[in-house]
Amino acid sequence: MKAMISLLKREFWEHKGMFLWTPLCVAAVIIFVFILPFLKGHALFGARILGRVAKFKEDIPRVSELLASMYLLFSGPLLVVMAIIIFFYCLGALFDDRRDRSILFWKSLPVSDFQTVLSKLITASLIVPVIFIMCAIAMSFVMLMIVGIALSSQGVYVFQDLFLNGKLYLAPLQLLGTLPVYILWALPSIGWLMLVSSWAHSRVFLWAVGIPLLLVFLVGMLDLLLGQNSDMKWFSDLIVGRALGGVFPGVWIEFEHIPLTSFTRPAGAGVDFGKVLSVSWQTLLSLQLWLGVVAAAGMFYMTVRLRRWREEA
Amino acid sequence: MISVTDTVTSSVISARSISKQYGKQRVLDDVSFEIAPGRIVGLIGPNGLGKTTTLKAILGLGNFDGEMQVLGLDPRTQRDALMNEVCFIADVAILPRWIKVKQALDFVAGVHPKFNRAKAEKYLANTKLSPDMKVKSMSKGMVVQLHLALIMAIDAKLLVLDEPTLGLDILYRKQFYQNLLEDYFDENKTIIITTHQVEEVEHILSDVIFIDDGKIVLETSMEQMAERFVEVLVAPENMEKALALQPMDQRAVFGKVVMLFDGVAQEMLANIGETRIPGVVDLFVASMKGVAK
Repeated sequence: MKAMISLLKREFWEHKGMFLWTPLCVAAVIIFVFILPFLKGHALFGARILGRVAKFKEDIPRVSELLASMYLLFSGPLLVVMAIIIFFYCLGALFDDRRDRSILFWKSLPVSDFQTVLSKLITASLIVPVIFIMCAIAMSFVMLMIVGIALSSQGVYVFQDLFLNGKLYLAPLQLLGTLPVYILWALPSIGWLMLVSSWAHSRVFLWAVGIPLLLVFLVGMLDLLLGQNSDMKWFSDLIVGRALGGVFPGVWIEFEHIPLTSFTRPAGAGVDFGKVLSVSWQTLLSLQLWLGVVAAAGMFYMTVRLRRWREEA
Repeated sequence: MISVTDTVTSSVISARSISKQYGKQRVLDDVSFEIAPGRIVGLIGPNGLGKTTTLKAILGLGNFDGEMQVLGLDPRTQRDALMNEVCFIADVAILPRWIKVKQALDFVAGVHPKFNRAKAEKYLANTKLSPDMKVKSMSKGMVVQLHLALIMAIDAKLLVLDEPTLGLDILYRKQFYQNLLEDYFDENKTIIITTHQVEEVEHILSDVIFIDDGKIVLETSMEQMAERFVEVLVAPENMEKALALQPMDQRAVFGKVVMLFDGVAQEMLANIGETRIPGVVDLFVASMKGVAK
């Protein structure tokens, strides 16, 4: 346990820029860009818009309800950045130290290869998402406050209703609650990327992306040659989507063909994060999810073996 | 105290018929050797002809054919347990570039049960290294100092050094071996060293193993070596007598002929010229010519 904590710390030290500074900087930039139009104020918002805003006064409870339940949508861009960070972290995780030969230092210490690979898996699937989700929630909250202040400046005072609205506090928990679902869907991609990372002698990105694409291309060609003309989408979804795309949060919506309307509330009252949570957890009933987890376990096993026995030229 | 029977039976390393092939190239060919505790062994041989592969086999970093026991463990299947007792420095450049001095200390303290942090810090206090310094910004000599500080604070039974001073300037090189001898080595520890700079380690070695072309050419302790091999500065009038004793090698130095003899009685050699103990390098060169067995 003590060793595992040291291993996790090591990952954090090595990738502090990726794991900490990136989300903080991206959040800061997003907030800054978001703030700009408000600072310009009247010059940008025409009279028409201001007129509509003024109408909010009549329905403050509904406006704050919408804000409280929807503000987490601001976190979208940051979660996309998270997916990209996880993708590249996994690609480098077992490759970088082989390239600079520091693997020999790590291997001179009494840490098993299983522990090493596990620490990297935990980092990619749990630590990084938790950091990013926390940042995303904080950023969304700041942006919500900015909107609140902007509305106040037009005489629309939402803060009281907003802070009394339970959804304001519940939605972040509901977002965090989808994390286990995210991890399960992301495992095959993380497993694949780490497998390539421990196997390739060079050009990890090309191998990781090239092999699935080539596979899809070859099967597609075969399909054409045989004149089957069958539907190939499921196959490319399976190979390219699940091997590479799994790190994107919410990708299960695509894999499971969940209609987006499942997340919205009737009467156009916006996205309901409670529904996001429950619909996401329902995908745990999906067979393809668990087959993916089994595949990830197999890839994990191979990764540990490669880490143990791969000899550098 | 180690009893007599212990020292006889418990080799630190016992290698039997180790072979290893990379593709068609055979880098180790049926190599066997024993290393006893409390020795400092020099593994000497030309580049790419088995030294590093032997070390990798000892450290469980690669697969091979044959039997190998290191501290009673098989490095292939029991590597994780073995690494509690074994340390190695593989090359000067292998500390990760991003790591800070204090992070390296924290990490090793976190994963190694036999790491004495105070000892490492004490050693570092004598260097120019500061806790927040990154490996990236260190000179090669400083990286080695950090690595040595980490290694010396680990109470391991076996230390393996693969070209530890490669690329260092002479001041650091001397200091490196001096620290190793003064602050680390004792009768319970064993050190294996490979290096190009044989002259530098010669005086600290207790044993040498010559490897060439995947085979062990010579395996001897320094005491045995001094008894068995004698170098003679042959006086010109004794040339014929000397040649009759079948020297394994001869070379000319300042107009005189220096001959190297294997297993010829000292008294006999004293008659033909000035005798002395041969240097490891000279012996190695002679051995490579394939005469010694």
